[in-house]
Amino acid sequence: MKESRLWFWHLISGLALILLLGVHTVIQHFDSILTWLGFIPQAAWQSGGHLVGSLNFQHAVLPRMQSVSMTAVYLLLVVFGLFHGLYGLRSMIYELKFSAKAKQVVGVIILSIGIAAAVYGVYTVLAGHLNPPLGG
Amino acid sequence: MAAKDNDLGIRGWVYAGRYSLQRYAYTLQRITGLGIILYLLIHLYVTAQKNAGEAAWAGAMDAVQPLHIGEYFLFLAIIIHACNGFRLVWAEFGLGLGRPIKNVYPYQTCLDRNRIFFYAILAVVFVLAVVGTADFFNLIRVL
Ligand code: HEM
Ligand code: HEM
Ligand code: HEM
Repeated sequence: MKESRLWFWHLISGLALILLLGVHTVIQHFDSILTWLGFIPQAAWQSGGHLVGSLNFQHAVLPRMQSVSMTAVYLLLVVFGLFHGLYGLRSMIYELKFSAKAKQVVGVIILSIGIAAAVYGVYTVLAGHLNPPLGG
Repeated sequence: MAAKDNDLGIRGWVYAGRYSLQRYAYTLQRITGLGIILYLLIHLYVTAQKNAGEAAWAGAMDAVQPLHIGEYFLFLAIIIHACNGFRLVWAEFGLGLGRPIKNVYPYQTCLDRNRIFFYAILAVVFVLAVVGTADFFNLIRVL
């Protein structure tokens, strides 16, 4: 793909990530506020040892795995997050004085990491949704 | 005349030359960006353990427990990168920079005009940081 087009998608993915990572960050980091607002059950704080609030398996993680909208958010977050982050990493490396050949090698390595991580991430999210553990 | 060698090499990642405040925001943008992408790669593996059930999830969470404070710094990195990134996307699409002006003394650059946006972003980061800090260290008890 043309470089300018990739860069354009870097910006678009950045905008998308505000929403996607915004949702994720609010869920993970403002969980006492979310409980107060009623989005997370009180029970998430009463069981599960130190894994309370948003990290509680039964009352927070499992329900999110079963939710269609959260599954969609995570699928998009995997893809946009990896593209945006790895393209950013590649841009920084390409600023250095490497030969065209070396840059090509770097490009292929980063692309491979991206594809492998995307396959793994998409699989993780889908498997969790379609086949939740403990019969959920 | 030979062209001036402007290439800073790897030093260019952190040193901006004689540029303004915003150029250092850009440096911060890169440091935080790198931190987040590194985290994401590890994160995908750690959170995947949820699919193996509650015991595996607890095991994975216990294993990363010593790094828990790192999550707080990651949170700060995310809000800085997201807010400043929002400002950069606007600038890169050429929005909010005003009309081009003649270059007469006292010189004014687009960066001067963008500075208000920059301070607004700083304010948003500050508010989010306060709320996030309170939540992370359990300083507020709303329950
Ligand atoms: C600091 C804060 C973070 C915490 C505490 C956190 C926590 C979690 C948890 C507990 C899950 C499991 C799924 C769930 O509970 O709903 C998860 C999944 C996920 N997170 Fe994060 N996360 C953080 C930051 C990030 C960042 C910065 C990114 C991306 C750039 C990200 C991307 C993802 C993705 C794509 C998934 C889905 C993969 C899966 O379900 O295994 N997270 N996160
Ligand atoms: C939350 C929303 C986000 C927004 C609005 C955003 C926006 C931006 C913008 C505008 C740039 C500068 C690009 C340029 O000027 O060419 C950038 C750079 C970067 N971002 Fe993000 N980003 C976000 C999230 C992320 C995430 C989740 C990651 C990692 C997974 C990440 C990794 C990077 C990296 C490594 C760079 C450096 C690239 C460079 O300087 O050329 N960003 N981001
Ligand atoms: C051919 C013309 C231009 C190109 C190719 C261009 C390209 C870019 C790029 C790639 C960035 C990303 C940040 C960076 O790399 O440091 C940027 C940032 C920016 N540009 Fe331009 N630009 C152009 C003209 C202008 C003009 C005419 C203005 C002002 C009216 C302007 C104002 C800005 C501002 C305020 C930023 C944000 C910088 C920061 O806060 O870090 N640009 N531009």
